[in-house]
Amino acid sequence: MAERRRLGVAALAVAAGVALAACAPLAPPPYATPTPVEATATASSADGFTDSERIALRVWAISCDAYRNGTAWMLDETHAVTNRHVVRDTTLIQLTDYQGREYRVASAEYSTEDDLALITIDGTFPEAATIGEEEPAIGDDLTVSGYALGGPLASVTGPYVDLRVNDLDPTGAEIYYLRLLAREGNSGSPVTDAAGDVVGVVFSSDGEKYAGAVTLPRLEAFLADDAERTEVDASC
Amino acid sequence: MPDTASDATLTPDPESTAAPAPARRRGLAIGLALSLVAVVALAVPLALLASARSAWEGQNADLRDHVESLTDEISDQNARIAELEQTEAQLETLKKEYSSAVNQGAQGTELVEELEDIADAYDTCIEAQQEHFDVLRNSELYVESSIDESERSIIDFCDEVSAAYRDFREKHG
Repeated sequence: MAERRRLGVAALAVAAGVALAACAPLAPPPYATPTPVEATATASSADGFTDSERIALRVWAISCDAYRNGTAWMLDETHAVTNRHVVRDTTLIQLTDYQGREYRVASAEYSTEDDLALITIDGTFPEAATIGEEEPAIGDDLTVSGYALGGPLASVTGPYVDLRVNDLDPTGAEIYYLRLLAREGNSGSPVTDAAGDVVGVVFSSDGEKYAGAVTLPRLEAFLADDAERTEVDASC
Repeated sequence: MPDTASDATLTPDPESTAAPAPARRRGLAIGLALSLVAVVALAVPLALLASARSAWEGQNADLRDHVESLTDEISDQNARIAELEQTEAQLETLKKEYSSAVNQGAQGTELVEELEDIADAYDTCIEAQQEHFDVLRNSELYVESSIDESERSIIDFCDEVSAAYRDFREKHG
């Protein structure tokens, strides 16, 4: 009996020995891989200019009593959008793109309700804006590209803070209130969302932290084929 | 006569003394057989385990090679990204300089136009003053109040031109 136990123990010892041999330390697992750095947002073209910058036009206009600086942006190959207060009562409007090419203005008309105007150029422009399909959500970062203080071309980005009453026209349509620095010369600048689509048009600023923009629905209404517009009267 | 019962007790039964040896052998055989079965039963999974270990180590080595290769690739990519970011920063600087130069060109044209407008206004001012001198030389031909009114308007106009020029210089240096 005792011998049988010894044999059993011996057999188990052999088995355990073989099992332990199989459980020899294994090669270490693969080490942690380094984390790649995150690529920063790049410009949407090889020349470093974004889509909204390439469609932005510098506006210089002469009214009966002043020179005006503003910004416009190409809606399609022959039409540019800007503010009514940039082109109203002007005798001359000059447009220059980001490469310094000049465009002659054939005609201009403006909205009677919103601070928007539509300029028709002679010839054609190679690029055009994409109008957004959805309004921005509060908190979204929006970008304004234009010619603050008459240039040079620059873009600023800030959050959409609120939809609020237009202090300059309390009975008019509500406006997008943006937290970013827009200055004289930014009037008419396109407001673009993260996708680069135009969702508004800058028309006011406190010169410090906040800017006001015409909303996407009002822009769409102005651009509708049957929208009522008034021709710019170029006589003083 | 010996007691048979006592004989039975004292004398070992030939059958009972012969029985333990085969039983032990049988037990030993069974024990060995069981041990063999146990060894074989253990050997199969152990062989599988050893095979799995070998495969795991092989796979591990492959993975390590792959990780090393990926690490090298990531290092290269990171270096490229760093280069791209540097290039992007340079592009941004160039873009600003380019925009500034383009803008200076556009502004230059506008400044010239503004200055030409001011110069034209100065011309008008000088012409108006010369005409006014003629009026003053022949003042008897004009109503006195209208001469004063004309002079006032010329002075206002010329003041406005001067103010426009001052504004221009303040704005553009």
